[in-house]
Amino acid sequence: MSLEFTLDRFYDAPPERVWAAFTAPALMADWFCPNPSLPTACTLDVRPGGAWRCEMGAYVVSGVYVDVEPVSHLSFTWSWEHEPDEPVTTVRVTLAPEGGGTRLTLQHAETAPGAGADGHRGGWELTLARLESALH
Amino acid sequence: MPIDVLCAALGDPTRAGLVETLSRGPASLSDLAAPYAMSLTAVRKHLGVLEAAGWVSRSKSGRVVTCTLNPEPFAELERWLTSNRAFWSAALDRLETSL
Repeated sequence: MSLEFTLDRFYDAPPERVWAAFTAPALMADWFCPNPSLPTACTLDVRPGGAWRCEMGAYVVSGVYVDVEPVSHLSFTWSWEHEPDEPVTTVRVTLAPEGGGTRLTLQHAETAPGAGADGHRGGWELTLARLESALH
Repeated sequence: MPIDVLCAALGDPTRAGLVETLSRGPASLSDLAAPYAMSLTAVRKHLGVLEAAGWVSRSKSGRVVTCTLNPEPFAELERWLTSNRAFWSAALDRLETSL
């Protein structure tokens, strides 16, 4: 079972600005952490094989860049430092110009399709919004 | 159990209340039903939904039915909430406001 998911967003900004948000450490620290109250700092060596690391309060996630194609494609490995036993995963970000803005596609692949994975992990289809309304 | 099935089972005030009561410890069917102005049958139906979704287990001893909350669904929900998908979904939302 694969734990892969893809997220899709449209941003009303040109691809160059979205690319900068992913590759400039000061810009990335502005949005990367879902919790705005956690102090966030990033170091990014944006080149194939270069290391990247983001600290959000006590949480640290890091990896290595795989593909770097300005302004259209960025992929990197991803692992949480507090979960060293979890398999290393790969994130693939694609940016495409669309109507004056940018279509961003983000794919996060946790295991190779077909490889065995924990049986109790289900599909990742539920959005946060549905979960929110279901729990309240 | 898929996350949406777990959540759908909780998406009812009575069932959410039953889960909350059971989180304090196992209880008999009649004790669970006591606070609710509804028939034992109605409460039993709600418990059936919770049981089918994996939230609750029922055991019978003589004529007493005891309900127990299963720990796995909470662990599954917590796991999902801290998952990478939730992380990215929130981060990409923040990206929009920062652009």
